[in-house]
Amino acid sequence: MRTNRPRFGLSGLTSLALLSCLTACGGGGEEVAPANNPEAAAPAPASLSVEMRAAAVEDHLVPSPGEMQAAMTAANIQASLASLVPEREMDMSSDDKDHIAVRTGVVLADMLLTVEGAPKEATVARFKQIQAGLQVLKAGDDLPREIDDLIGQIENDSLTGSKLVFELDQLRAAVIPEISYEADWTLPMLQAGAWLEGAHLISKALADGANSAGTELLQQPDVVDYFLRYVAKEGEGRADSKVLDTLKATLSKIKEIVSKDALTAEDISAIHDSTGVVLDMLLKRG
Amino acid sequence: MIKALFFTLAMSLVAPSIADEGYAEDLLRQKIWEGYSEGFAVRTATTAELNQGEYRIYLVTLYAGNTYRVNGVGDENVTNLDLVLHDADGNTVAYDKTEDAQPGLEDFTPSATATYFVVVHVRTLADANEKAAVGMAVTYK
Repeated sequence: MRTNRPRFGLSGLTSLALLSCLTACGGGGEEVAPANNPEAAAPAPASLSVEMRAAAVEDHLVPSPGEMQAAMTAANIQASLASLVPEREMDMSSDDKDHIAVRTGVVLADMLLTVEGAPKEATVARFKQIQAGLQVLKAGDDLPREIDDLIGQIENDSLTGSKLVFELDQLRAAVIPEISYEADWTLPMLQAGAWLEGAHLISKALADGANSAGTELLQQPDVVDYFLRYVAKEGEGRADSKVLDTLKATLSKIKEIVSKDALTAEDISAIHDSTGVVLDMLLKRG
Repeated sequence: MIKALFFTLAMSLVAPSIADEGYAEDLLRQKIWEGYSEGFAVRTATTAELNQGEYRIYLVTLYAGNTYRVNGVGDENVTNLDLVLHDADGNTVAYDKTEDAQPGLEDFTPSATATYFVVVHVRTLADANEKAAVGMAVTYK
């Protein structure tokens, strides 16, 4: 149980509130953590025990879409993920929260990847889709209000360039604790949407010029496990768990692939196809 | 009115300090913004309220090839905040060697994409009877 609500960045750009308090979200503990005593020649802290690792907060496990692009560039994969983001008609009016959480994650990923080169109308349209998604998810009033502030500044051209990218980065960071606080069960679904979109795009980029450093970027079995644990837990006892069942099947297949020591071109292609099928299913109208 | 003002002032002098999350958030955002000029973007930014001796452990996935910077901040009650980075097996990868409220780890470039643990540990507080607000940011480029 959390002891207070997140605030970081959610009361306007001038308020500087964006972060959350995850005080009792696992991982908190008394003085048994690794030592760090600079006065005694700074001995290296002790290793983390299995129990301490098991108690870690997992909300921040999933990497951001921007990180994927940066890592891809570092791996000398020249493709731009932004150029691979497809045009989509996204229906955010469904009352199915599983669908809407995934869709919101996909739109968030697309916006983060494209914001630098996108016309402001496209960025504003994506913001409005995210707002609509957050409303369905009952994710509180703070994020939508913050987005209203950002839209206003984008429309009057007072928020552009690196400042806009900075604010979007901050917003993405804020979504995690805010959703975790307001509608915590939807957070992994939203993150899964963003991650699936990222994996789909990066596997497309790798298909056109993979190298070992590039293929390693998809090897994140722990992230896939995080989603699988959630899907298995949420699916229990649900009469209608079609979305979760589909996700589970796809994620299980992806986990099997990304757990390999090295990925082949066929593996990359299989990841692209699997993520494409599940995204099509989750993003289609309704 | 003036009486009320003096009463408020007096209460603020004798009342125990409370965790100042806004202060920690401001500091953290400042750190993040400073990194922007060097090309670092935000990956994770979060805060928590902790007692002296308590810690929080965050699991993060870090990409090979990216350079990561981890910063911690504490509110005015924090006198020593520690940061430690561990690999997936729990081995210590990096730790701050300063005794202060705003620790930072040396920039870190993973050789393989993997999960890591970031530990934020409140060592000492000025007022150990109160909680403190602490923040942690992971940025990348």
